[in-house]
Amino acid sequence: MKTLNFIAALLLLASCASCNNDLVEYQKNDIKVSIEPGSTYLHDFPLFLGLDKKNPPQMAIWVEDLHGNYLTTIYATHKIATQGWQFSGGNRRKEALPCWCYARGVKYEDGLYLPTKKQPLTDGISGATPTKGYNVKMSPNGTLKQFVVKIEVNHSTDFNDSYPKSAKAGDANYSGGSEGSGQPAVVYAATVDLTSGAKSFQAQLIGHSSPDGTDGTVIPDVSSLTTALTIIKQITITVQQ
Amino acid sequence: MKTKIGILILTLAVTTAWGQTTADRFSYAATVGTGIAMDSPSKTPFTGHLLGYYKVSSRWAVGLGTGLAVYEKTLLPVFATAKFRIAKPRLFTPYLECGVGYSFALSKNTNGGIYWSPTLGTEVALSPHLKLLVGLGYEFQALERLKTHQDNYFSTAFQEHLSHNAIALKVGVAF
Repeated sequence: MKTLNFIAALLLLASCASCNNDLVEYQKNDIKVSIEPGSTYLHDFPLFLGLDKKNPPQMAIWVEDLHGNYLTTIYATHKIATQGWQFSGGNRRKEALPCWCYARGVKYEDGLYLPTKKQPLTDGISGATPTKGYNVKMSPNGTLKQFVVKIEVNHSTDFNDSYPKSAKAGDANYSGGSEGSGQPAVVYAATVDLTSGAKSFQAQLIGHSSPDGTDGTVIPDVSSLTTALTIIKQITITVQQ
Repeated sequence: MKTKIGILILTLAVTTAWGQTTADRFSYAATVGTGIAMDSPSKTPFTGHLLGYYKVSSRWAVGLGTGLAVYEKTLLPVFATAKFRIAKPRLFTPYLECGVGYSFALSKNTNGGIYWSPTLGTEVALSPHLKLLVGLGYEFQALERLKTHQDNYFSTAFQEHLSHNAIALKVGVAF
């Protein structure tokens, strides 16, 4: 009898539970930002004793007007949104996503433009770093019909010959030291015109960010980058029909 | 739906097996647990499990468990478990146990995910039919939740995938 009661309870509890489903529903004219990972999306981050961890990149998605004025952030990964770095050796990682940080223009107590543990980014726009491709839905609330979606992406310790671990502070290729970026963040942009009738917009690589994160400029010459160029395969912005 | 059918088949199979054996092969346990989160974003889990075991041999037992797990959202884990007593039963009997299953979401706008938890513990015999359980192990729990935000320009939404790894601490009783 005890056995039957246990089984009955198990079945009852299971039937109460919901099944998995798509949590984001799209309606007509909603906009979907689709991030498709490239071959170096997961990067070997050194832990200890020669062990590596496959790390996904840090990323921010934000919107500017056609004149380059920051409007709003759509999405940012948890670590940069909350200063949630685990193995950064105390480095605040201002070189992680400087283009987004300076575009946003919020200066924190320590003089950096990075959210802190005490003052994190709004929870609703930050999420655990996805380990595979993902989508973000954005539904226009106002009259905004033309805008630029920008995406900045960065791996830590992604060193190459142009951005070596050995670079010293003050060097042109310094990227935060041994726990820093290595290759700087890459920036993609797509100009979205909802009045054009187009339903799909492809984001293009427009350059890389400041290697040491001292400003928010975008440097168009990406010839010094190697694996940073294949973190992202494709970013597509589609208007739902 | 497939998952629910799978659970039904599993429980029927277990019922059949149980029906062919004597009652003293069954035992039960109730545990509560928490853990030390090892991820970012981190969330300290709280769990409460009820387990039923079938004794396969003097050392081995297999069973089913369910209960509640509280992370960012409340989940209902349903899992199979296998327990191996490292030594013959005595006052302190060390054991290895591993539970593997799936946690269903009880909250709206949430999807459950894979659950598994290997544990190294000890049974402390309090009486012939009552044992205290103390265990230390690892716990993995995946889940998904909807995150939304609204400002003057856009309403945004995305599905956040969370994979929680934790050092798990469990205490309970077996009877």
